[in-house]
Amino acid sequence: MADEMDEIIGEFITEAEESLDKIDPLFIELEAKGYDKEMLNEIFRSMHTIKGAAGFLGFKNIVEVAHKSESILKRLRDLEITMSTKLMDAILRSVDMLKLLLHHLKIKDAVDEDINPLITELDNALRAAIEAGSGQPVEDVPTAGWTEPPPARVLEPPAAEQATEPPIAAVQTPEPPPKKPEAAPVGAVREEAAPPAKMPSTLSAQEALQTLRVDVERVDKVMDLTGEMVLVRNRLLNIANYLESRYSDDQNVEHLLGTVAFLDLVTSDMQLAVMKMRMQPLKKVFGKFPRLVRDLSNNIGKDVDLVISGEDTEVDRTVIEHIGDPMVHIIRNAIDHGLESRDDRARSGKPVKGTLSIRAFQQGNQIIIEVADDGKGIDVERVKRKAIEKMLITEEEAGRMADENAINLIFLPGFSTMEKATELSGRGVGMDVVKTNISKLNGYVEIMSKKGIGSTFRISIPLTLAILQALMVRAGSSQFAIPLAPVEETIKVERRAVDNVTGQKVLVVREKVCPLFELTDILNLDDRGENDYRYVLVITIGDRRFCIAVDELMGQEEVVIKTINGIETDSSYILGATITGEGKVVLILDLAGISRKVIGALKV
Amino acid sequence: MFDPKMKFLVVDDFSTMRRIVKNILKQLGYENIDEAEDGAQAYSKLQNGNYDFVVSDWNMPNMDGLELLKKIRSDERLKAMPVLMVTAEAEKEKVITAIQAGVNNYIVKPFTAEVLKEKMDRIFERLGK
Repeated sequence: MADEMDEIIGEFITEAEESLDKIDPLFIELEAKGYDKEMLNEIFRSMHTIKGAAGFLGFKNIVEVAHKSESILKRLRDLEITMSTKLMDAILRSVDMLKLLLHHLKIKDAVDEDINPLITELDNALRAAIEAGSGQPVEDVPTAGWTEPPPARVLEPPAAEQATEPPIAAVQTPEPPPKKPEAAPVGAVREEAAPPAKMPSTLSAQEALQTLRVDVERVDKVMDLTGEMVLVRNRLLNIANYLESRYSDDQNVEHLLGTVAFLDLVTSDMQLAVMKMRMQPLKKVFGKFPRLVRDLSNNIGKDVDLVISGEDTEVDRTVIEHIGDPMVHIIRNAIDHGLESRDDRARSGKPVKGTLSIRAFQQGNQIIIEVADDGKGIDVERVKRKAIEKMLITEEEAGRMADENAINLIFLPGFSTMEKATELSGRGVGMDVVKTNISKLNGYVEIMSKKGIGSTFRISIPLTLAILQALMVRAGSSQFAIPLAPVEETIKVERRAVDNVTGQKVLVVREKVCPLFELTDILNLDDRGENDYRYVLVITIGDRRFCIAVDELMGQEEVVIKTINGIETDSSYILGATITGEGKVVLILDLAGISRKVIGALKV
Repeated sequence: MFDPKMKFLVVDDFSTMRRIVKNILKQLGYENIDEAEDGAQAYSKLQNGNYDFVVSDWNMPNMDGLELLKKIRSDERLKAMPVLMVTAEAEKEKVITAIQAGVNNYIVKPFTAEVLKEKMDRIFERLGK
């Protein structure tokens, strides 16, 4: 029974949290619209439901907070009062409080939040709203219109209930309803003509029946097993190919090949299916932004229009979990540093209201998320100056640095351009955290900025995080897997085609000079290939293009990324490891990391 | 009167609530309990299942409890179905509306197994079961 209770509480927490997440974006829309009955009703219903279930479970604080805000929402919905910033703030704070209370329940820390200040705030806000509406001071706000008994625990039946209950026993069990509305049982209340033409929406019912709630761990387990299966398939493919080359006349080998080919197909389908199982719409993350933008812009007195698109784009669960923080950071920065004050905007002939647009879309097997503002753009000179001040670069380096490289200085640890730290973003931890978090998702960030026009932060993340199309290469005597996506092309060049410009090797690729690096140099490997020609991978990461030279291209393989414990992935240029078709353990290189290292070292 | 085989339909949009109500019904010895997540789903389930008793929440999306109740009462085959309405607070107006629409009884959240039993007994009594 105790387990059952734990389970119910767990379910309640999840469901209540989801319910709150769902209504979160509605508030902002509501504030903009002023009044929308449907929206208010939906918010009201969520509060109401949470209150109801919490009552059964004996969570008094939750009941009380939900009850207070519910009664405000009810009055708003029924047009008894009108929305104000103060009222909205109070309601939003109660949503926050509910989330906090749920969080305490979840981590079972038995911390008791003091909800009294909030309750007072809700009461005051409601009183003010009623007074504003009627012009009359109001005395009995907290309980006005409510005759319910105080919330009680399940174990102690509310004694008051019997007393307040209308005498239902006196009412006769209703006669079969009349065909005509005129004959409704009580004349005063006219029933709506029996069944309105609206048909029950069986669609939603079917949908509900076809959804299954599954523990994330179970899905992850299937994902892991699928990964293992991919590895086994790769091994089998290899063995089958070998057998084919040796015993091509044997009919059994032919059968084996056919079977393995089928296994190959099924495995790919299965991978895709499991991947889809883990996909969730970005709405889950984006839904929080309207509130964030509202609070931030209210705090610093800037008017911001938030435009969100592509929130239905689906990404891996892991991305949902980790993309929120870096995005919040970028949004904060955009509002704090990017957008100008009202006066400045007016002075430069821009609309007083700034625009922040967030959009997401899929491009090939990448998910792109862009956060763009129409603010003042990044001042490259100021960024350079700041970097010099903070001793991140030397004066000389700054002078040689191209603008697009200089902008990337804001990603360096310890960089912050704001002269005075604001509540919003100037807290020392800065954009480097953004970069690190996104690298963890095998993604990268680029900045495009035009002075006076605005800045765009563009995040690219691979569609799937567990399986990777990779190019297998050999450098010296070691084999590596290189993620295929950023590889633009591979070319075979003679050694003498590689030029040397002031100590930097370069190669002309499609009439453009491109810096070239030996993979063995990048990784500080001793052994060096001796052949006369090099295989060159042309890599594009964001707006950077460079070449990596290796000794041999061994083929393309679908690899399963296994993380390696104990390796600082930020500095090692290693994404993880995989097992090849031959059963060899091979390291997977982190091209984004390598790009930062080699381009950083580059004297352009 | 008490029949453990009685088939219930618990209607609530919040799955935790459905589970709580189910649990309480189980405490009372009932085994045959189905769920629906709003009035619309409940109504379509009622069309083709042999249910004996409906316990419905009031506030739900798509079709709320009151609407469901009205639909049941105006359905030739379902009109005699006992319906117990669950409400969050004893709002007199609401209760009166529900009684006029033909609810058999109502119960205020949160409630215990004892209170639920009492309410159900009263319904059975009046139905002469």
